[in-house]
This record gives sequence, structure tokens and C-alpha cells, in this order.
Amino acid sequence: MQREKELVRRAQQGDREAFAVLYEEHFEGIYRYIFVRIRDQAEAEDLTQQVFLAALEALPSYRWRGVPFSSWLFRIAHNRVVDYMRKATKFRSSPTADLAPAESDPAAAVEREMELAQLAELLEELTPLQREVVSLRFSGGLSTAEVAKVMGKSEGAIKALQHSALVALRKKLEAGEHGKEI
Amino acid sequence: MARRFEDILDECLSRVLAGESIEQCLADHAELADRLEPLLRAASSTAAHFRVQPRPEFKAELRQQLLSKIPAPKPRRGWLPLLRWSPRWALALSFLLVLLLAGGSTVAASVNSLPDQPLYPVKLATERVQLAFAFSPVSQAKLEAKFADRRVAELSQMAQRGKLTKAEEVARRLAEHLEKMGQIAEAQALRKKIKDRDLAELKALLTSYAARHPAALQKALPRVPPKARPLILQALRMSAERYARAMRAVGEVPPGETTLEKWPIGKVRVVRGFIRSLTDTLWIVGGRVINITPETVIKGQPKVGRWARVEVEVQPDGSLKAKRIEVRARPWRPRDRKP
Repeated sequence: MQREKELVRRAQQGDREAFAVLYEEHFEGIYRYIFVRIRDQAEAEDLTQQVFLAALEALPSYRWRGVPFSSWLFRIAHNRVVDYMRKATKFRSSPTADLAPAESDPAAAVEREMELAQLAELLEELTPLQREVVSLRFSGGLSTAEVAKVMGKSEGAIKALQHSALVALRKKLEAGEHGKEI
Repeated sequence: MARRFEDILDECLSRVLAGESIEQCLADHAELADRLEPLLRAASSTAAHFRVQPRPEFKAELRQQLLSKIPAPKPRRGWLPLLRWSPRWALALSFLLVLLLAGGSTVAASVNSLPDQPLYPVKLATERVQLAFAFSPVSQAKLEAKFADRRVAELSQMAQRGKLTKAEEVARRLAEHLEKMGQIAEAQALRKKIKDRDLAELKALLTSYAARHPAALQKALPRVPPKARPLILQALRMSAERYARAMRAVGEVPPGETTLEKWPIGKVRVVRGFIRSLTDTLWIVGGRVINITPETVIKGQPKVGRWARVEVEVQPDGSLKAKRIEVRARPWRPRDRKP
């Protein structure tokens, strides 16, 4: 935590190296979180770019005050995803369209697409709050405390949401294993 | 007070997501294993689905875009800030201590040391001190380029001796020097505050090293064991790209290059320019790194220092694949140009 605080301080003073380290540490988490939520590679790249540009612009005004940098960054990502979903629901009929990232092997691409389609259906079964917790925790790699900061809830509430989400996911996965459609 | 099930589930989940096995966690909470196991397996299966990999070229492009938007920090003015305690002065003091303890002759002897020799850390420490005392950005850029030059020589040596781990370490340091040198050049160009004399000096230096590094690496290439070849080729590519970027930043456009634009994927474009480097798989022409394949048609006698017109196809990762190459002893004049 202290190291991240120091990196943020240096980045705020225009230290490119420090910002590059923060970028390297958070890029994949942010991209995965966005991709899992919207499941479209081109849009995920676009939103990831927007998140980091917004973070760079807002960095001078960022104050630590108990909110870790990762939570702050994911809160920007969360807001962008919410905006995107709000706009996209008007136009998108299938959430599983254009799911898979580019794969050089066509067979792998098809397999990946099927996996993601399955996952999309799994996530559709969760409530919006459960989906958010699972995405932040599993794809963003955040701790429960960090998820709580992003979502503005208590850690206890996040743990309860996580538990209920896993119970729902387990039921769906078991149903899938027994040959039922998911 | 007994811990709530949700707390224990969260603890196990954190451990599993960090790479521990489910069984390990179940063993620690045997009394709850029946309830925990199916949930942890569901979590593990879901997390596995989430491990999508972003495109590396997207990550690299965004990184570059972001870093180019960060203005260089304002230089300190006046005497007072110079007297403040800072890492620069701490470093200088450490160096004086090293000098007192090790002696000036040790430091002098370390200059020619290689990464597998005991004095090498002294060499690196001395370089850090030199950088700490380089107050102007141009001096810093010159030192970064000078140290990059040393790293190129060390990389060639380590690769030729088959010391791959050391060679990789040196290649990482080389990348850092080139990156910093490029950043300084870009920051200076962007601020347009560089003096004419300094700019000329920086241009001359970049031009000189941009020619020296590929030549040194290319010379080493036939002498290194096959397993070290990718490392040398990677360094060659990186050095060409970083120098081309830095030279463009200070307005020194490599021969044949007039644009900074990115070329669209799948399109065929023409690169005309001076041949900076040649290997069987990679050429540097007009500041661009071009991949050579067995299908590439080459007309003329390729040689470093000659001029080439290369039809390239832009690959999905942004790299350039040569389709046809025509080599000449002299540059193209406008009327020679094919449409």
C-alpha cells in the first residue's frame, strides 16, 4: 500500500516511470473487468483507453484519504461500464455477440467463444450487484475491501453478495454438468 | 466468537484466487469443507473463464499514448531547492563513501567490467551517480545514450559467451536507457525549449548511436549461439525503433521517412531509405524495422549504407513484412519514384 502511495505521489509530479508502473500493474485487471462486463473486444479496448485517459487527467486531484488507487481506478471503470450499458441496452439484443478476443487459431477461437457465451449466460442469472462483485473480484483481481470501496458498500455486504453469487453460480454450473442447458 | 461462514469463504476465495489449492484451504477449515468446496470450485471455474488476455499491441499502444501525455516535471529553480536533501545528494554522498572505501582506482577499473565480473555493480553505481549529476536534460539524454552504448557491447559479449541470463538482464537495462533517452528527447521537443546548440548536439549524438548500435549488434549476430539469436534480434529491433522515435522527436527524420502516421493493417506501403542494418530475417530501412521472409523478393545487392525501396505489408501486430525490395547505391530522386 505504501509503495502504491509513493508511486501515485511520483506520478502526480509528472514521473512517467511511476505512472508506467501503475499502468502495468492495473492494465490487465481493468481490461478484464470491462471485457467481462461488456463482452466485446473492440468496445472493451475503447473503454479501457477512456478509463486510463480519464485517470491520467484526474490524477492531480486524486487524494489518498483511505481509498486505494486501485479502487479509485476501478470506480472510473465501473462508471464507464454503467454509462456504456445504459446506452448499449437500447441497441444491443444479444449480449453474447462478438464475445471472443482475436485468436490466431480458429478452433481455439470457436472454443473460447463458446466458453464466453456460457459464461455470459451464467452471469445473466446473477443480480446486477452480484455480477458487479464477481466481475471486480474475479476479473479485476480486487480484494473484498477494495470492491467495497468501489461499490460504496460495507465489506460485510460485499461478502454476503459474493456468497449468494457463488451459490447461484454453483447451481447453474451443476445444472450444466448434468446436461441441462445453461 | 466463531467466524461467520462468509468471512471464511472470503478468506479461502482470496487464497484460491492468489494461486493456493482448494484442498489446502479445505484442510484448514475441515469442519466447513462440505459447504466450502462446491462454492470454491464454482469460483475457480468462473475465474478461469475470466482470464481473457488483452492484445499486447493494444497494451503497448495505450501505454505509449498515455506516457506521451505526461508533461516533463518542471525544473527546480534557484539555489535553495538545490540545497535541500534529495535522493540526488544522497546518491552523491553514497558515491563519496564508495570512493573512500573502494578507492578511485577501483571505480576506474570498473569501467571495462562485464556483467559477470565482480566490479560490474561498481560500474552501474558510478553510472547512476553520473546521471544524478547531469543537471540538464540534454546531458541526461547523452548519458543515457552513452550507457545504452555500453549495454549493447555487454549484451554482445554475454550473448557470444552463451550467458543468457546475464544477457537478458543487460537487454532489460538497455531497454530502460533507450526508453529514458527517448522520453527526454520527446519532452524537450514537445516543450520546444531546447537551445539550438543543444538540439544540434542531441541530433548528432542520436544519429551517431543510431548507426553504431545496429552495426554492433549485427556484427555479434553470427557469433552468438542459436539460442541467443532472438535476444540480439529483439535488441536490434528495439534499438532501431527507439532511436527512430527519439530522432523524429528532435526533428531528425531518418532518410526516407517523412511521416509519423501509423499505417493501416493489411495495406501495402512503400518504405524508401538508407539501409541501417541487415540480417537474414530483419532489415532496418529509413528508420523502420522490416521483417524479411523466404517469400521476400530482393533485387540488387543488399549492403549496409545502400538505399532500398521496400514494399511492405502491415501485419495485424503493426509489424512490417517485406514483399519486394529493390536495392540501389544512391537514394531515389523524386522523378525515379514509382507511383
